[in-house]
Amino acid sequence: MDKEILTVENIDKSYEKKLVLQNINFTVYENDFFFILGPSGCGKTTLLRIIAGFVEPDRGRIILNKKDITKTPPNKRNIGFVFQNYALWPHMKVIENIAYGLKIKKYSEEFIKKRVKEIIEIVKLEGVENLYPSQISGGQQQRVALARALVINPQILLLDEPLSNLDAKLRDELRREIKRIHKETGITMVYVTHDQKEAMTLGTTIAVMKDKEIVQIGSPYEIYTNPIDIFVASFIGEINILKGKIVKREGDLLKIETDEGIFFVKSKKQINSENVSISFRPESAVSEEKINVIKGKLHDYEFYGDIVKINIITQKGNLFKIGVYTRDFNKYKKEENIIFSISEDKIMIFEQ
Amino acid sequence: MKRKILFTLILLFFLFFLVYPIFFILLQSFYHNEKFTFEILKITLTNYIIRKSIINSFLLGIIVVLTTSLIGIPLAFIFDRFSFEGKSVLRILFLLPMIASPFVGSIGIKQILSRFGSLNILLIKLGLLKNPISWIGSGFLGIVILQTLHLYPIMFLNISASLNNYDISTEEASYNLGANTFQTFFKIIFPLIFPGYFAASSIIFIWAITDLGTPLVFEFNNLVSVKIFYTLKDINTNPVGYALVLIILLLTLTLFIFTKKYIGKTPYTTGRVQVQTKEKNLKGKKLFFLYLFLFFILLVSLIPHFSLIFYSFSKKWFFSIFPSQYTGEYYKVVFTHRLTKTGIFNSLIYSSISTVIDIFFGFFIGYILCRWKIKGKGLLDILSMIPLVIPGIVLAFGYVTTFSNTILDPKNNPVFLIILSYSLRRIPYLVRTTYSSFLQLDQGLEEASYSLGSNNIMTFKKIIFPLISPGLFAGAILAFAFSLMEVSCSLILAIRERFYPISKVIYILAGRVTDGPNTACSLGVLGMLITFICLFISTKIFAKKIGEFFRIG
Repeated sequence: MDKEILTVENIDKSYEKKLVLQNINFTVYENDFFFILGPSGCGKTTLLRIIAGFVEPDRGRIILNKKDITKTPPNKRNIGFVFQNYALWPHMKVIENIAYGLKIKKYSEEFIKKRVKEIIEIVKLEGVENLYPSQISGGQQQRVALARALVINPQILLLDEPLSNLDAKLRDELRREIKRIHKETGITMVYVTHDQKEAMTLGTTIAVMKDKEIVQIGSPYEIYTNPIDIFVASFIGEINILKGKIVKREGDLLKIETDEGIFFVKSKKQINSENVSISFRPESAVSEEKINVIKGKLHDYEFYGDIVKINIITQKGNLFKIGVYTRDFNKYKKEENIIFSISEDKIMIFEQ
Repeated sequence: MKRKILFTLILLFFLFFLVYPIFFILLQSFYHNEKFTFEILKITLTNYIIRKSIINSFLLGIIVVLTTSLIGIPLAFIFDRFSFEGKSVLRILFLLPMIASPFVGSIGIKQILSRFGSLNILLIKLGLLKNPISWIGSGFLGIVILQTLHLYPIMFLNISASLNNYDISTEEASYNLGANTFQTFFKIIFPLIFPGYFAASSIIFIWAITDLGTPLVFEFNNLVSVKIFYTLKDINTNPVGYALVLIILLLTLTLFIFTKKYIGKTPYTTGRVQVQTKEKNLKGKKLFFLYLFLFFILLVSLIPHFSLIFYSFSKKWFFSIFPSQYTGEYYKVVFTHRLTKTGIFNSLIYSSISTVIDIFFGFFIGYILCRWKIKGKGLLDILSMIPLVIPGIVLAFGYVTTFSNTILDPKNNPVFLIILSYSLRRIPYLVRTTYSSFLQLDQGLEEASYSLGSNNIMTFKKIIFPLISPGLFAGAILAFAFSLMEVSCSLILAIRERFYPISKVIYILAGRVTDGPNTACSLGVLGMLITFICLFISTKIFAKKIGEFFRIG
């Protein structure tokens, strides 16, 4: 069993009578790269700030390494924090920014020198140590922010949308860097983002938040393939949705009547109502005419390089997005009927 | 807990030394012979001399608003619409008149405008005048001139800011639809700059009618401010002073509230500021006349300063445009004369202590307003801004009357109240600078420090203070300079000679016929110099450090 590092228990928080967090519960294990993923305004940054101790919760407990730290001031928690806008001190050089935490803890000059050098190597900041934050690039500022938080060897590192201020290319580069640093240092990280791509590519566990609550926790694979509701399903990737009615149940095989005909769905989920939504991801459709068939004409397409996502419009006027490999793309011609089918275990089903 | 104590102490300070004296004046103007009465107000408004003073004061305020408008508005337009060599230097030079108070300048300019002063001699020599005329007359004109030359930069600054704030395309649209320059000015431009114009006019109006030093030097006594000054001597038997202060107070508050409401509610925002340049290049004749106009205004507005400097060096200055003999001995006198030495020493002490108090209050109030969530914060916000609208003469009057026959009675020892009045009047400026510094200072910078294990004191020392200090010190230097040359409170509160600050010494010396005015001028020049240096340092700190400090992230 993995060692528990951080447990968040029954956290509530409201600002001026408006509830922003409701009954938040989760546990982060050692070496985890834990993601809190959600749209803006769902309360995820507040949650992170509660863990860091900048905000006091109205109810609940924060437990770090088996110690209740709910009432501990932020400077006694030994938790690293990387701010969205880095919060580098403009009046200190890069090296002074990084060494600050060690100086506060009154380590010897010699140790500080050694440790700072070490961390500068890890985050690859050699050469800019004696510059001021305003004199280095955005990507470098981000590295300084990481180094400053890592240098004190925190029990856990919190990151608040650390890549949102960078352009696309730098973001990709730093995403890989953070992954590498996580691997090299083995530090447990809690990372807040609204970018599902970041969460999917980096995370070991993802907690999806919606409107002040956590709706699902699981590995990226679990959350992608078995989302708990349509919100999670659509937030974490693209889906096609179709409304329908269960007309027959045979064990875990359900027969569902829709606009586009009859669909068969295999599901282990307990479905209580008759009115349901069924959905499938673009890559789940295969180009053959078997079971659960969708027939339509090419409407338009989005080109991604390795794959093409084509939109098919059916006779009823429904649009479906289907992913095909680029090498197969010229098979599909305009004005010609295109046929796809989705196997019964690749269809997700949700109560309406 | 500690927070609450600090917060309560600050509130109490304002209540006791700001609200209470004002309340006391209010009470005394309606309370006579142990009865509530309107008698005092009635007497005040029906007495011929006093009514004349009130009318004079109003007239003075309105005339000065008009004259400053006539100089300030065209100036603002020139700087907004044309580009020319030396523009940035000239822009600063036009703020120079503010470094000497009209009170000090008036001592110098008397030498220019008197019956046998430089101006008359010059005009006679040029053949433009046969017999010398008295330019100062009763003194009223002198006051208007001095105040105008001192206050037009306020108009200039405010109109410049207003012009900067709206989109030039609103004017272009007007021309495009067939309006001429005249129509465009009155239908488009003036309505758009009116809020700024009104604000500037209010400041200038209040400043003009509450100015005490200038009328005293010109010996023009029929003004409300002077009447207030003289009624203080027998305030226990003659309560008219209370009513006069009340009138000024009401006027100030009305204008202030009206400005706030008006400007706050004005719908005239044109959104985005223009992108395209609106500055025109001038050439040839037009450029020549532009420079001529600018240099003429500049020269005239610096006459008080130059005359002060000449006067301070003059050994002999009779019937000539410039002094006929020069000497530096009055500067020696400044540093040896008992009275001037006392004045300089006192002013340095008063201003230094009051500046320290200002730094303390400015920092903590700015911090509390920006960072704390605490009940009564709104009250503190209002209280810390009130000194802005309380004229020095009102505050000083309130102090003298409220604390007479107490341990703080300025007749015995005014040091505490002088320092307090100096610092109270500058607190709003420092609160504003620190507050805006804190607003720009990302809270994450503090939190980052806490998360790395630093406590409150360390975070304050290493992060907050270094980042806030440029703004704080720039403000403090200004506060120091203004306190050093403060007039109204100094004249009223320093009653005994050994407590005189510089301003009062200048006033007393200027009245001593033989060598007094020269020494007063030397002292004035020194004050001007210090003010200038302080302004210079302050803008340097502000312009450079803050600019590079707060651009990151």
